Amino acid sequence: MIARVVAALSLPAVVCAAATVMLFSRRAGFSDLTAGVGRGGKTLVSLLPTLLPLIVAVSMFRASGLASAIASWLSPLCRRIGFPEEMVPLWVLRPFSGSGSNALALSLFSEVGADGYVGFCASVLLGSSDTAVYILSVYFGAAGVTRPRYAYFAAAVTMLFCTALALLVGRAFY
Amino acid sequence: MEIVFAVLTLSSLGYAAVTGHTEALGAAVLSGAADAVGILIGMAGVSCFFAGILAVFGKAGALVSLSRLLSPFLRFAFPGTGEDTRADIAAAMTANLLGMGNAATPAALSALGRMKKESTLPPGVASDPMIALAVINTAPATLIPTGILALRHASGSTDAAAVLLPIALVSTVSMLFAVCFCRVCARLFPYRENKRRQLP
Repeated sequence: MIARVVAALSLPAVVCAAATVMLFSRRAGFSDLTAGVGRGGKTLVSLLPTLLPLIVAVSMFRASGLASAIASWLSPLCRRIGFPEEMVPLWVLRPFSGSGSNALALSLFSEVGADGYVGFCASVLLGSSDTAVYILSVYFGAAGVTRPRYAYFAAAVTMLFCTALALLVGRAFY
Repeated sequence: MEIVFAVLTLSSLGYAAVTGHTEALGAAVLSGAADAVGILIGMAGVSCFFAGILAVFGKAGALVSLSRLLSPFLRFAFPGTGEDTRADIAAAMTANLLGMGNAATPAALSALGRMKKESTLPPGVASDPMIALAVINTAPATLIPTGILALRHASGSTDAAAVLLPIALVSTVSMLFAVCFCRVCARLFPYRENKRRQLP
């Protein structure tokens, strides 16, 4: 009950907080809002060249029947640990590619619905984790690190923890 | 990225050829390309609007005050780092909190550069704070997951905001777990000279 009210009010609250800030702050005004919206539009357009080929690839992946085949091979294992089998491809791709996992999430939502239990859990997992392998390689590449020591291990354990927690919280909130 | 694309498409064609579903694949190429633009347009309103809202907070100095709030926590998570390094880390974390993941990367890279100078380990070896920063950013605390909201809305969700509280909870707890786990790992696996490298 409280969770529903908080969820329903959080977005209007953010918007109203921004309105208050714009009214009373000397530094920020409506022109900053419009500038930000413009930059958001540019960011989104810059997303298209990556997202489009990946959505095509995911669309092929789904149409070939391979996605559902993998899910059904893994379903006995998934059922034992309480992991929704439809989420397997998303979970596998998540550490490697942000656009790829967005494309898979969209295909998952169109298949089972964003508001169902699986869609809910997938949203929580996607929103709480980031592209671990990609981030580690970008960061360490930039810093010239050749010996990452326990970094990949710690990131993998964190991802497992995050997944388990997302499923538990998904079950509790859904 | 080439690998992701190649694995998805080649395995699809291979599997479809084996099972005899190839006729659906051509249609999937066309519909995927067409859908991508529709999806992006569906996401556009939500993500542009929140980019604007977040720009207002950023301009008003919310990043600076949030960074100040985070500083005791950072001293625990990144022992032995300097003031400037922690300011960069705080900027990256705040960007993630507000769902601006791409704004986090430059700040994190700047922090990494400073950590590299602070490190007492040989060049090329990741120091404990460097690892902690990278691992924490793989499960960053997120209060406003703009991307997810836009994706859910574009997929016709009637209650896209229902995931806000669960995401805030899961991401925050995961980040705290990452911090503690990195501290444990730093104790368990201290840096040692790699003996194998000295063998001919």
